[in-house]
Order: sequence, then structure tokens, then C-alpha cells
Amino acid sequence: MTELPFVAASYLIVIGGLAAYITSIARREAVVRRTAQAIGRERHHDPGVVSRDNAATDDDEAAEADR
Amino acid sequence: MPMKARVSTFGLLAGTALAITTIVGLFVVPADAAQGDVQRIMYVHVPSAWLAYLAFLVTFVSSVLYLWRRELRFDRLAIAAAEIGLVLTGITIVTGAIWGKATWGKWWDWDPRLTTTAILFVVYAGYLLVRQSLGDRYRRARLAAVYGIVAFVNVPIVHFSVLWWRGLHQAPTVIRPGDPSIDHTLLFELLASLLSFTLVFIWALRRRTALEAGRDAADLTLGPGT
Repeated sequence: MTELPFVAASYLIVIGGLAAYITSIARREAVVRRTAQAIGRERHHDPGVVSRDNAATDDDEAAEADR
Repeated sequence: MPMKARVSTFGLLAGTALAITTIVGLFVVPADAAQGDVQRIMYVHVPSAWLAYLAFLVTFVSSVLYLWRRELRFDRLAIAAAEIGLVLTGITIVTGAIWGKATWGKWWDWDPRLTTTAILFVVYAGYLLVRQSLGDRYRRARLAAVYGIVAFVNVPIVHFSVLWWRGLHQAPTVIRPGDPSIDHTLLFELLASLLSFTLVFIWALRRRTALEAGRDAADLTLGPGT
């Protein structure tokens, strides 16, 4: 059957092409997930977010404004 | 974040349907009386082409909706569909070339259908390149929407090219006036294959759109209301 290689090649290209594309989506999803996690960590360690003990009180801010 | 790393139930369903129609197309349905086994390429070539049309239609409609509503969710849908449509157009061209070699004796001919399909591929590759070249998220979405609307003009030209101009490519066998000129068993497998490709398309579209939403969520330059 001389047509068999043509048929086999076509089906392999379709299955392989779709598989490669779905793999590329999964790879990009992983990159976005890692980026989102990194952003989450940065926010967690943001020096702008301080504990209540270290936060400036209204009196401190008023004193600063007077100066 | 809307993305999920695991394969969904819908994805499994789509993959199973594709596997079943592939096996049926290769081993169960009889060979075509005129072309023999090489006609089995039709069960992957034709659904790829039809789904590419559908993908570009989704890009077109989403682009119109983006320009109207200015909501980024429509832009995400447009890029997702365009990318999938480009992959399917590539598959259509390659499987068509293989089918052409087996039946016409050559991989390529500057036939109207083949030429317009090649132009379609280049136009939507351009759509993705234009998007990548623009930095500002909203400007990118706006220009891509205009591009996505104009580019869709190619789709009816590709479809009707076999009727408007003479060429090697055969005229429509299913979507045509009167009954389809195809045996009912082969037509059933073609439609089953189309259904399985549609399920894979919907699954890929949802996942690709979610990827774009994840990218937007990670992009701190975006404001609220996206």
C-alpha cells in the first residue's frame, strides 16, 4: 500500500502538532505561575508593609509636620 | 488565578474523542473507492481547516466586542483564538501538501485555494507579531482588534476561492447546494472527527484564554477593571 506513509505522516503531524502546542501552553502557564508566586513573595516582604509596633503613630506624623 | 496546571475532565474528554475518531478514521471506515486509503487524510485535513475558520471568526467577533466595550477579556479571547487558528492553518497546509503529493504528484501548487490559505497563514502570523511588538497593553489590544477585524476578510476569500477561480483543489463536497457528494459512512466519520476537533479547540481556547488572564493578573502596570 503506497499511500500508507502519506496517511501516517499526516496523522502524526496533526497529533504531534496539537501535542506540541498544548505543551507550549503548559510551559507558558508554568512561567506565569512562577511569576505570580514571585510577585506574591515580593509583596509579602515589601518594606512598605510594617508591623503595628513599628508603624508611625498619628502623634509622630503630627510632630513631623510641625517640624 | 484562573489557571489550572492539571488536565481538566473536559480536556480528557476532548483527547479521548480525538483518539477514538483517529482510530476509526484510520482503521474502521472503508477506503474511498476513487482515492483509496490516502483519502483518510480528509478526516484531519478538513476539520483543521474548518476549525481554523472558526478560530478566526472568534478573533473577529472578539475584536469587534473589544472596540465596543473596551474590556480586556475580549482581547484575551481574540489572541487565544488567533494563535490556535494559526496552528490549525499550519496543520491544514502541511496535511494538504502531503495529500497533494499523493494525489497530484506534487507538494505545492500556486492554486487559488493553496495560495489564499498561505496568505491567511502569513496574515495571522503578522497579527501575533504586531501584538508582540507593542508594549502598552491597551494600545496593543486596540491595534490588534483593528488588525483582527481587517484580517478576517481573508477567510471568505479562502473558502470561496475554489468556486471563484479554477484550480487543482476540489470544489466543496459537504457545504454546497444539494446533497453532499460524499458517501454517508465517510461523511459520518468526517462529522465525528469535526466534533472531536471542536472539543479540542474549545479546551485549548479556554486554557489559552486563562493563560492570558494569568499574564494580565501578573502585570502590575494594569489598572483595575480589566
